[in-house]
Amino acid sequence: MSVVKMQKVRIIGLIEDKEDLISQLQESQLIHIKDFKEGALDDYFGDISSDDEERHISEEITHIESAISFMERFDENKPLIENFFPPRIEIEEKEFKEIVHNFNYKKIIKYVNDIREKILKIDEKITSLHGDISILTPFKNLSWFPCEAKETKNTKSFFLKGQKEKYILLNDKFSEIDTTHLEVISEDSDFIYLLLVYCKENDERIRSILKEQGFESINLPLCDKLPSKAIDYYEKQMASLLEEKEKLFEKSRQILKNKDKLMIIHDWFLFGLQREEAKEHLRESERTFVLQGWVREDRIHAMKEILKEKFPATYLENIVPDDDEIPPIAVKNPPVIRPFQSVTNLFGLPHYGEVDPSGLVAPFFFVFFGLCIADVGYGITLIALSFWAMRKIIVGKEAKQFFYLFMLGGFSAILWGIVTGGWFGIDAAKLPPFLKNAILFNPLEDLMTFFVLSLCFGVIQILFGIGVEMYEQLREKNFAIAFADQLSYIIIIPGIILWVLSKQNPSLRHLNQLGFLIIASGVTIMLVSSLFKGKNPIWELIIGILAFFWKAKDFLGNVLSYSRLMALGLAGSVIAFVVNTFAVMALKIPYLGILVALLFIVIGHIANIVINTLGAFIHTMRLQFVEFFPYFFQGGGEAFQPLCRESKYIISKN
Amino acid sequence: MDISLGLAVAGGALAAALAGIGSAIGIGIAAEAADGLLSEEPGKFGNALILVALPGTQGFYGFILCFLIIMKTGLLGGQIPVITISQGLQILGVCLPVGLVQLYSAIHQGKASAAGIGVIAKQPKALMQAVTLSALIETYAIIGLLTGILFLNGIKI
Repeated sequence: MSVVKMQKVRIIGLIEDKEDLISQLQESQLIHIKDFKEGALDDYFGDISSDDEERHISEEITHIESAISFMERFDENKPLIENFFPPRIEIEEKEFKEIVHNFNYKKIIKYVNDIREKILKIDEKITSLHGDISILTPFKNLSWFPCEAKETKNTKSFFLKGQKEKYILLNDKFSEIDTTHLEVISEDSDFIYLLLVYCKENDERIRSILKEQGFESINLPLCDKLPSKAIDYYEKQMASLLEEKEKLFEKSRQILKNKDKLMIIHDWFLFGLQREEAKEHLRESERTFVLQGWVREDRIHAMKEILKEKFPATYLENIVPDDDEIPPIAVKNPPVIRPFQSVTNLFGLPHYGEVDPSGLVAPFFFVFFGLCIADVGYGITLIALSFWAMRKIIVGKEAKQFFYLFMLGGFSAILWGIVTGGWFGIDAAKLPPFLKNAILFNPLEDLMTFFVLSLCFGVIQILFGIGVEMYEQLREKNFAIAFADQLSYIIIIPGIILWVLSKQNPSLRHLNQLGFLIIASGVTIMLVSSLFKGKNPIWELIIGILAFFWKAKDFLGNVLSYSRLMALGLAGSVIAFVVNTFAVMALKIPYLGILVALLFIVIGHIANIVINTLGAFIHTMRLQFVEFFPYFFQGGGEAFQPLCRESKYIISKN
Repeated sequence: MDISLGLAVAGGALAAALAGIGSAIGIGIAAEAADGLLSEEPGKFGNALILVALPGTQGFYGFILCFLIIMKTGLLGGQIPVITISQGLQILGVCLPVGLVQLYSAIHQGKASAAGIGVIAKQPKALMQAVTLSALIETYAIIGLLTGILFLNGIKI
């Protein structure tokens, strides 16, 4: 439940150890490598001249990636789940190394590229054939060879294409010119196709009319054949091309089994690239190199062991960070908190020295998430689905935590379901007595109870948040601030609530004075401690009072925001109830009734679970981020990212 | 059916209709953006789906209020329910703000989700942040629904 302490170290080693050491560091994931400050150690070490290795690796990665994405086009049995979770390969280190050594990926990539090029060429040809056929189609009924329409000593002939509605005008204009013959060959929905024969002496005039009316001349391909025959000829060619393409597709499908291995090789290169990138932070002299970075204080011993055992000629020293240097953040939490850690990670990591809020978020998240679902059946389904996902879907450690989170949420939903009588939305009145007895309130009937309960959770969490901030201020020995800005609120707010309740409720009238006393003592604490806050006590006092009203307004808004717990819980219950009502109605349909009812129940409840869970997750998270965190947590720390193997496709099994 | 029940029915229908329209428009806006992304990166379908689905909840909220009115007036029962004109008007009044809030919040949530699609196109890891920002808008849809539920709870039939 805390931010891990970091130690900055510097490692100096022999050049010949460099490659091995970097590999070792990558495997052990111990050090977050940092750049040297400009000019540091300049007397002994220089920058490393960049070599071609990095460029070479990036090129290989690009080749492999394009081959993989080509192969993915032929993966027809891709399961639906891969749309949500990209495919990963779980692999042991031994098998990984074996594939890296033995698999001839270059051969596969060449093979893939050949196929791809062939397909491209075929596609080009098909496109051009399509074009030719579409030119010929309007002339397919022509009973003479198009090449006969050629230039003679005195005449010229053209095939023309133009807008249908322009034809009459064109015909009129041509009829004014002697010895001009215009013949309609065919027409389709928009265009008309014509044969034009005319005397050469009219050439200029004819052309200008054609241009004016937007008619263009067409050159028919294969004009020494009848157009219908030419079309047949092209279609046969097309068929054989398509056949050839299908064969290439089949070949592509056959090499699909190599995709996994290519992915593994891809990651091997990726790891290499990460090592090369790490090397850019190093500096070198003639015989030695130096690197610096952060190591978790609790792992420094492990680091020393590795160096001592494998690289005896390497020297490690602890160094003092620069004044303006902030260590990267790693947090340590017990396993039960870790799923909630991934929620806070979405907001951001704490600053160095700030409290890690995951442990504080955990109980609230657990309770709220379940309250938004509040159904035993849905909870069980959620647990089952998470369990199935954890077994069947290969994901990284980070994503796995979310499955745990939903599983925990499922348990919470079961608990809330029991006390609210939520069993797949079945009418509470129809539940067996022992389940009925467990019901504390029915959300559909006791709306106000649910509402007040939600707001109570809000008050509790926000007061808790203020308490955490007080703890932080006390830890930093800002006693006056802790008393004036936090402790006073924690006292005054419950006092006000008590006072209002006693005013509203005749049976609580005797608590009226107690409430007033609590408020008064809180105000006193605030006023007195404000005097010690700064140099100008009067100013601090005025600021303090104004801030109180401002914060009270915030508090009210934030607490009301928790009413979403009720709305979401209710929404889920109502929809579940509706699904059941419809299913019961469907039972009245003759013969098919049971089938339709079952369909309603299965699809309806699954859809409701999905919507409900998404809503529960997002809004519970929002309550943490927007309502809870501002009271004590800022976040924004830089994550501790040790040199490691960051894979795209594989997950190592160990 | 007399006019008072007609008013109540009109209210419920309006709430469901406005909310449904809003969700349809909102999802439409987000889905268009998502299609643009998918044409380049079909692998992001799952992530995009979450963002596109967000403005869909408003439709449900409207429906929930409509359903609660149906329950309240006993429309699903065998007998024709009897309510007064003033009760009918009250129910109609409750429904209007609910429907309007759903309508507008769904549309704007759709816009925010579409922008979120732009975020995950460049930063796949920022999915949940984009979802959270878009979900901020939903707060008001929830408050709208809550207003309706609390009012409806207060109307005595």
